[in-house]
Amino acid sequence: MSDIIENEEIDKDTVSLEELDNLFSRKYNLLTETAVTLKTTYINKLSLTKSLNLAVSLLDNSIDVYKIEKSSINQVCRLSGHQKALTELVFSPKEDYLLYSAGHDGIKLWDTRTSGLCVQDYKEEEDTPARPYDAMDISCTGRVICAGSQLVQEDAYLVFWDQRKPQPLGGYWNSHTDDITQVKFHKEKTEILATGSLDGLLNVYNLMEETEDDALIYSMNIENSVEKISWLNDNHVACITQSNDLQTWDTGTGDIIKTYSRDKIARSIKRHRSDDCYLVDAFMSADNMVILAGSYGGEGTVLRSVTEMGKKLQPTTNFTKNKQVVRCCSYDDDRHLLVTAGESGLISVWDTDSTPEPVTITKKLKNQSLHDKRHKPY
Amino acid sequence: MSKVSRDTLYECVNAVLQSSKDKKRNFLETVELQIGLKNYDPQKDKRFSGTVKLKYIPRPKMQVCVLGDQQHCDEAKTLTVPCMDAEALKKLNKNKKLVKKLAKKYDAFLASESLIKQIPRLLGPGLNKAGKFPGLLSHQESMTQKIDEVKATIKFQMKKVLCLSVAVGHVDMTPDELAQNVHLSINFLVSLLKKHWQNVRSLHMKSTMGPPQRLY
Repeated sequence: MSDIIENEEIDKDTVSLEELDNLFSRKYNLLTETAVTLKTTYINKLSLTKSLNLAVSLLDNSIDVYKIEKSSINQVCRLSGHQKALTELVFSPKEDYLLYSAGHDGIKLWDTRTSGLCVQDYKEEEDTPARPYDAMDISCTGRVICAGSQLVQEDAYLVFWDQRKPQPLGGYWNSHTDDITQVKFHKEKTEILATGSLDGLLNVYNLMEETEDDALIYSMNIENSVEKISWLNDNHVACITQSNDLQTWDTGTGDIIKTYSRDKIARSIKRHRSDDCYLVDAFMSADNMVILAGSYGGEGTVLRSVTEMGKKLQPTTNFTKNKQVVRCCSYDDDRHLLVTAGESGLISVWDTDSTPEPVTITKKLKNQSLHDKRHKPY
Repeated sequence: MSKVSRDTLYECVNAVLQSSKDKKRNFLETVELQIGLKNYDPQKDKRFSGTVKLKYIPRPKMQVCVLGDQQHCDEAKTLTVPCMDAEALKKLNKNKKLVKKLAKKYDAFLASESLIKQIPRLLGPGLNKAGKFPGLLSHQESMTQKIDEVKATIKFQMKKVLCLSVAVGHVDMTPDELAQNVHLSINFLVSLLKKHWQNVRSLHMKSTMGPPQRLY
């Protein structure tokens, strides 16, 4: 047996620069970028509306709201109010100025117009202290809030509210046994909810049922802690684990569809060290699943996307202008716009379907509208 | 660069095993690896977790029960592996006490593909609540291998504090077996950490009742 040694090799590409350029053939344009503050901060959560309102979380538990316009990001307001950790941000799917925030001191609703105001504080049931929530989402109708709590004594709670009232509608606490890390409503079916936890389960519920027992449709055993869940389409869910693997599941049948290991994804983004590879998210672009991944190695600026084509992960875009470890993103398929944010406190807006031209950003983008007809992808 | 030399590892392993022999207990002591982290802020840094299969089973007494289809139940019977089929599960009638009792009886469950999707319908959330929802047992792999895999797999879970502890063996293992398990565990853990060894402050090993021995 050998000594236990440190691998000091710095992560690098597995192919030449030229080859990288050929493989990652879908080019991009960095439309605009902004730093949220002069101090160092991480942006771990963001929410983006169809109208390009953007909210990001800051480490001091405040929220910055922006409007993305043509080729600039303009600050709308800064919302302060959470005294404890801020853990999730979600804009209402119906009213694009209403923003919900979740944290260890409860759920808040903000009206982001002009200077921004906290218009509602959602409470627990009577005589119950605030539960620490790590996950939250709003139903597609904008009416029901669901938040997932950490393990409190022996129970991990899913609590539901009608957004019009501060008192909860009810809760579930029998289907997860550890911190709930993700709560995601179905994009079109208001009664379908997916939740993920450190207990390794991805649960799917039908909230129309009377009791928790009947509401639980499937418990899909991820066999690893859940980091992120994303609904890909009507019955496909992507699940990123805390070890940076990705699984896709069919919520109609309860079957696993595919597993992509951290190793496989590292190889698909043409990087050498799989233990430096991290996953940001998975989303749909023109009926295919795209995985956004990066590397912690070197400066931590490598950010690349690959697209699932049949059984393969096809290299797609190499975001060479990326400057940080990315923690969250949102993709607008109609505008082929990707917004990323991360550990240097930068918000970047990428146009993922254009050819970069060798002119300065401001000059080129004067003529470009974000509402252009959708280009055909390569 | 060597972080834990072979000699240090074996010294530690031997010390743990020796202190257990010196003060024999009336149960089989587990050997734990204790990790202290640094340069990591649970408030802002991404949480990590991972499972790894060790070479030697750390918890030999672990009881696994198969919830199987016809084929799996037949196989389980020939291997004297405890099993239950859909009929047996239906007989529990979703009775919370009975499901809880079943959950308590075994350390882990494996279920055939056709059964695993029916668990919420057949048993309600009882297995969920016990933290023992079954893993998938497919027809593509050997049942014995899968059960051994379950028994040999350990989980590293980062929570809110800067230390974690995980069972990597027991005191009836040989020094070689223990050393190999520890070697694998440390390398795996380091692969989960963003800054790898820069995130490790200290490593200790100890048996359940014994004193900690410093590895790093």
